[in-house]
Amino acid sequence: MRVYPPSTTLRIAIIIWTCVTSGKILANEHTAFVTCPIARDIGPQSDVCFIAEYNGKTYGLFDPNGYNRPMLKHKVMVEGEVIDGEMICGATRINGVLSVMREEISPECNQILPDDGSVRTKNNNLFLRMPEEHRQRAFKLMAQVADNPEASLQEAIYDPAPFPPVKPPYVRQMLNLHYPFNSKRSSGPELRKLLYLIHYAKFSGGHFVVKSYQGATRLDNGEVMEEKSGMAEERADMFAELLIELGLNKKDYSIEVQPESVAATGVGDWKNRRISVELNPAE
Amino acid sequence: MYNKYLERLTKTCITMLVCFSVFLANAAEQSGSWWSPGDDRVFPRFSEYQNASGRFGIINTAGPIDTSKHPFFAAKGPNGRACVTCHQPSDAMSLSVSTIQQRWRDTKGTDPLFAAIDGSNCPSLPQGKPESHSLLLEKGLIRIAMPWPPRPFNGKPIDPEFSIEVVRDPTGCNLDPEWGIDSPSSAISVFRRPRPVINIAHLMELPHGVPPFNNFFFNDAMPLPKGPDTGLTVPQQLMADGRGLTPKYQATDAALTHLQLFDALSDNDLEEIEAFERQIYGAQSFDNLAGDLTSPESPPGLGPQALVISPKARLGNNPLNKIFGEFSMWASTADESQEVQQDKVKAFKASVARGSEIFREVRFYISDVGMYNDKGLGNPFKRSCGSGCHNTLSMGMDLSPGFMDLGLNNFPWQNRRSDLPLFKITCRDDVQPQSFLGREIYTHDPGRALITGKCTDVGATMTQQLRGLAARAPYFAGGAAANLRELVDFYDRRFNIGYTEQEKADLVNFMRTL
Ligand code: HEC
Repeated sequence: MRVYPPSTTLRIAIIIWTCVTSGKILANEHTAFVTCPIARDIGPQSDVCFIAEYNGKTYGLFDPNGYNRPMLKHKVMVEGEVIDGEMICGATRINGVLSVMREEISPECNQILPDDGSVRTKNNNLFLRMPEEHRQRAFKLMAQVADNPEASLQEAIYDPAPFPPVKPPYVRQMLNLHYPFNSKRSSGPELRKLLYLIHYAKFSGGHFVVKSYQGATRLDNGEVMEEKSGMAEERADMFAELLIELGLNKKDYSIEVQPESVAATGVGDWKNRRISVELNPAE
Repeated sequence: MYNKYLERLTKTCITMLVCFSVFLANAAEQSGSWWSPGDDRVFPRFSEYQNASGRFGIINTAGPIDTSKHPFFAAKGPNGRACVTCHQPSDAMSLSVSTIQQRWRDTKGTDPLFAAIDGSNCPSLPQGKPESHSLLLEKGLIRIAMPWPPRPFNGKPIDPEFSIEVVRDPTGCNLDPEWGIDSPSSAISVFRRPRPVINIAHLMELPHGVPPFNNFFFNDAMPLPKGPDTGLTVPQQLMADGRGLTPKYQATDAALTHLQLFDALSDNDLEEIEAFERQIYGAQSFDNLAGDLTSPESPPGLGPQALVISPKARLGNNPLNKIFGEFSMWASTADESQEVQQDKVKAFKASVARGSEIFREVRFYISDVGMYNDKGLGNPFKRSCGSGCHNTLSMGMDLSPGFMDLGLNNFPWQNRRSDLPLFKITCRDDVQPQSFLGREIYTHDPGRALITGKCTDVGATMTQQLRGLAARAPYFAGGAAANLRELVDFYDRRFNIGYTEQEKADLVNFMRTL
């Protein structure tokens, strides 16, 4: 048996004790609040990032779906799990969703922190975010520019490959599209998933069962914020329009609206603001 | 002695020859500058037209066209105008205010361009007096009568989210009993610059590499509209408010309004117009200081050929494309040892190269822009001219398509204009407000909102391509910037950028070569 020196044993004991008593490292804490976002300048080569101060703590606001960023002049609703130890925008990251409170203008939300050099993002180079094959081509073209400047006019960013054909056996497909508070705009990535489902249905046949919900959020301060009435219906109407525009016929889908807000619990309430789509392939 | 005489003679002859050819060239330009409907001219494969800082070049990929009967060039309607009246080859297929003034002088205001319907401040005014055409003569603005409430768009009826009140009506047209908002035909008159009908093939291509927004409108994540004549998804890049869904649909509307042609253009005419619009490519081809912009030593993104070879509707804000391609070959600083003129040329080229870099690299806080910051980009969005909005390869359009209220139409940002109508927009309580101005908005042009009826869209108009700028001042849809310097100054003020004098000059020099 290996014997640890007393100092190491003590350190391990302290870590275990901290974990057990605080619970925070083992299970992430949920939070939900509405506040002014603060923009933070992170240098001349970067977009700004956003943070929020709440209950004496500073959180980095992470926008998982991309392009649903907070706005000065508007409050933001932040819902998610606090990821202790993970930093974003120089502050503790919250993994969840952001909703801009668009209905009201809040002129007091107007703070931009100047760049103090403490936060830098990884390389903003678009090419580093592309698929490997595309990236290789782009870098190759860049290497040619010195000898052949016209290479700088060749396309560097490509359309993604089309969805591959779907083969049987066809199985039931499920998808949830989530929406910001009081909003009908779904996100780009979720829309892509819906497009895949429609592509799938071209092979599998079948019927779409759509359910539209609206939600309420229990904030940390106990207040419950409900989406405006009729939101689920508005989402459903817009979604039906979307399906028709994407080539479906009315007989290809059914839509059910859940007009009452799903009750808030204070944990992951944002998941209730959704449209669920189920594709049941033809027999 | 003899030799000296011969030398002098030769010199004189050369001088005379040069003078004569300059005279010839000028004569050609004179007849070539204004293109009247029905001028039986040939539209060649390649043509160049003089402007203040050089020449604008047009490549017509289909080869020479006899324009005598061509529907873009022939007067089809009763007012004697053709499309070419407002889309002049010499003005990058738009119309500069200096050309308009020249035309007024040359024809004493009788050119069909000044037709009462939209070439005057209002058809009810006494025609032929400069005061009645002041918006066209001073700012290059054409009256556009938008139906109110909006007509169905993309097959859907529009229920406007706001009411409109005319607060100030300097042209008299919005309160006019025959033409105004309360007239039987109920219309809102706004005044806009002709957009350049060039490189349209680029504008008609759906965006690449931005899934799923190749087929979806970024702002609402709903499918982009379909062309009424084609049934195909359209990129929605035509006209300040995106209402020109396809070239044919747009031309039908243009014929009805500008040409007062009440029988629709024939299918054949529409085919010819669309084909023409899609086959002409243009850019500045010669600069008075930099010289030939099409030479192999020039940046590849300059000159009209760049538009022919460049892939269409691609994101250009990346390290390879740099929006308008590579400019580093001009980046060298002026060489002290060269003679003065050579220094000037080099210094100018270096300035253009710096301008291209400032355009794409110098970020600033883009803030409180309706229909832009609120589409998910965040407020502020810290970007450059090129990475913020003018991101399409070789064109500098917004690939999105980018409708936005820069503050040129809506108060409080713009330079208040006493020459334009002022409207008060009041949005219903139950709708989403304009993100930064709320539910009560004062505007000179409600823009996109006259199409969609949405409060969030009030004052938003769409980015324009940045080609042929030298040929078509003034700039912005309402003609707010008389020249490129004023345009740069507007951005500098609006977004508190703090460009240095040198940076401003570099941007201006860069843009004049596009
Ligand atoms: C009296 C002047 C006038 C005439 C004549 C005219 N136009 Fe225009 N054109 C305009 C104006 C002004 C705009 C911009 C309108 C706007 O943005 O709302 C425009 C815009 C356009 C555009 C959109 C270009 C872009 O980049 O968005 C096209 C295409 C066009 N016109 C084609 C035509 C055709 C085809 C005809 C003939 C059938 C024609 N025009 C006749 C004034 C005119």
